[in-house]
Amino acid sequence: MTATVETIGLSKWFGQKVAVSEVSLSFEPGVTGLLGPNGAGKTTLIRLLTGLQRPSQGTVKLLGVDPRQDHRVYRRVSMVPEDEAVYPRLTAREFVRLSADLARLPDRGRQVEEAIATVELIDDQDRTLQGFSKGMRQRAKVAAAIVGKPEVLILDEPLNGADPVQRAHLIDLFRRLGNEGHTVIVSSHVLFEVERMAGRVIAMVDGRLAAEGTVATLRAAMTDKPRLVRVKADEPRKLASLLLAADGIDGVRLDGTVIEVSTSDPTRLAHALPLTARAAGIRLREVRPADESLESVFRYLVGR
Amino acid sequence: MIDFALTRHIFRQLTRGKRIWGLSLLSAIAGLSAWIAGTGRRAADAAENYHVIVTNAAGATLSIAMLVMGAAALRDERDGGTLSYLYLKPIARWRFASSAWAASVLAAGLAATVGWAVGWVAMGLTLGSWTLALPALAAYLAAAVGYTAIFVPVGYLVSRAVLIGLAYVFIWEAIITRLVAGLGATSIWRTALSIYADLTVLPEDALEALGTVTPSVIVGVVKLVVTVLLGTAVLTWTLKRRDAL
Repeated sequence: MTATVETIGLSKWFGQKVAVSEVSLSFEPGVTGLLGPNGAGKTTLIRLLTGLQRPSQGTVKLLGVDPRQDHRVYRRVSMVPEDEAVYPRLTAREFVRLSADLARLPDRGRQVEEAIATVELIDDQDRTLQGFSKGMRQRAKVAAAIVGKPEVLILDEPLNGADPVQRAHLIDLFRRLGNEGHTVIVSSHVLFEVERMAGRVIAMVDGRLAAEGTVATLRAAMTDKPRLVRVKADEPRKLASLLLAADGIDGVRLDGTVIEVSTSDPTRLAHALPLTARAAGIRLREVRPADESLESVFRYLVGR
Repeated sequence: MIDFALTRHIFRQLTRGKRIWGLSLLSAIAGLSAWIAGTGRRAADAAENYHVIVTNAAGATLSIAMLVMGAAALRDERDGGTLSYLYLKPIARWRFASSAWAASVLAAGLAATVGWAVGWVAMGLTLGSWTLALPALAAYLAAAVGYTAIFVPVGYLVSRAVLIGLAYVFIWEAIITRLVAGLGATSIWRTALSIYADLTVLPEDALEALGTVTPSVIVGVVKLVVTVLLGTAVLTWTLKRRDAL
């Protein structure tokens, strides 16, 4: 597939502070999650990708062009900024219409209707944005971004403030757009949700690219890291002490009633755990790999 | 030349709320003062008084109103976090710059016209002359054009643009260009006055405010056009070269 967004050696610094350092990436149609702790450089990277900020070094190609040199690319690209800011005195409909007018979209009335319906704001479209909850504002921002169905949609923390139902709805929307062939780049710190919507994940730490790939490939790439398994059993303290002496186990930690076992050889753990429990007459209630989740992968990446 | 959707949006943002009323009132101070000061005087004295007060007092009050309006055009968007909604649109940067200026001059022109109209109505009702104040409208609008051409880019570039504007009005225009004769031609207010003075016969006391600048509509308009072109060019360059956020 052809890359729709591409960066080569992208860096951005503000005085002595390096916000993004030597990032080379490419994005293709589908949903890509951009992950990282606060201050990792996600928002700066998004601003560089969209042309809101000028790279200190390196290049950005958005649909084949430098967005700071060719403004026409913004017909095909849209962004939901992280800031909560909207125009408080505009109604949701006026806000979405403004976006359509500035983009000079054809058949604006219909496209505005569609975008508002997509984020389920039909009933509230004539209310001013100042009376909206945070989640509703987010939906209005998303509606303004998707009006005209841009080829590339870049969203900075779009789920902030949305309630669980709205989150689920927005996640479905982003997945649908990705499946329809749009390039959707979503930054978020809500790891579980990124895992649900993004086929590909890019992790940033301290302005650098820490890892990229699917959750599974990221995990597989970290063969040198111990894997974590959570065990629930009837006598956790006793089982934890027995496991310390078992083969293939690097460490055991008791967290309340849950035993966290780290191992660099999962196969040996799979044999040793039931044998040890059976020999001690302890019933295993649950054995669950903890590090298949994005959160644990991310924890490894940031070294926590 | 301009993007109408962008101009309409920025104009609406500038004219919604209390600011437009406050700045209109500020612009009206000179006309109101002339009316109060002229009440009970002979018609000729009141008319002379109007010209003197407008050329002097409006230099301060009107310029403040115009610079506040100019500085707010893009600064409000930048500070409010909404600039990305406008910046990430397929609008050429020179059109973006000229649209921001156009919206600003329309809003500033509205405040200036409301301010001027107060003096015009007051003079018309008290002196029975509805033509006395007409030339002053040209000065008010010329000031709106010139100050916004400077303060739209300054507002985009600097967060404390109004403070810089006040320094410009009270130090540069009021003191330095008065002390250094050759610099008088760089003053926006004197450029506006040169148009005013060419359209009517001003009394000596009013002409003092003009300094060494020669009354001329043509020269005044040319200077304003150059100021607008320079201001738009600076803003275009800034939009292209500097970070938007």
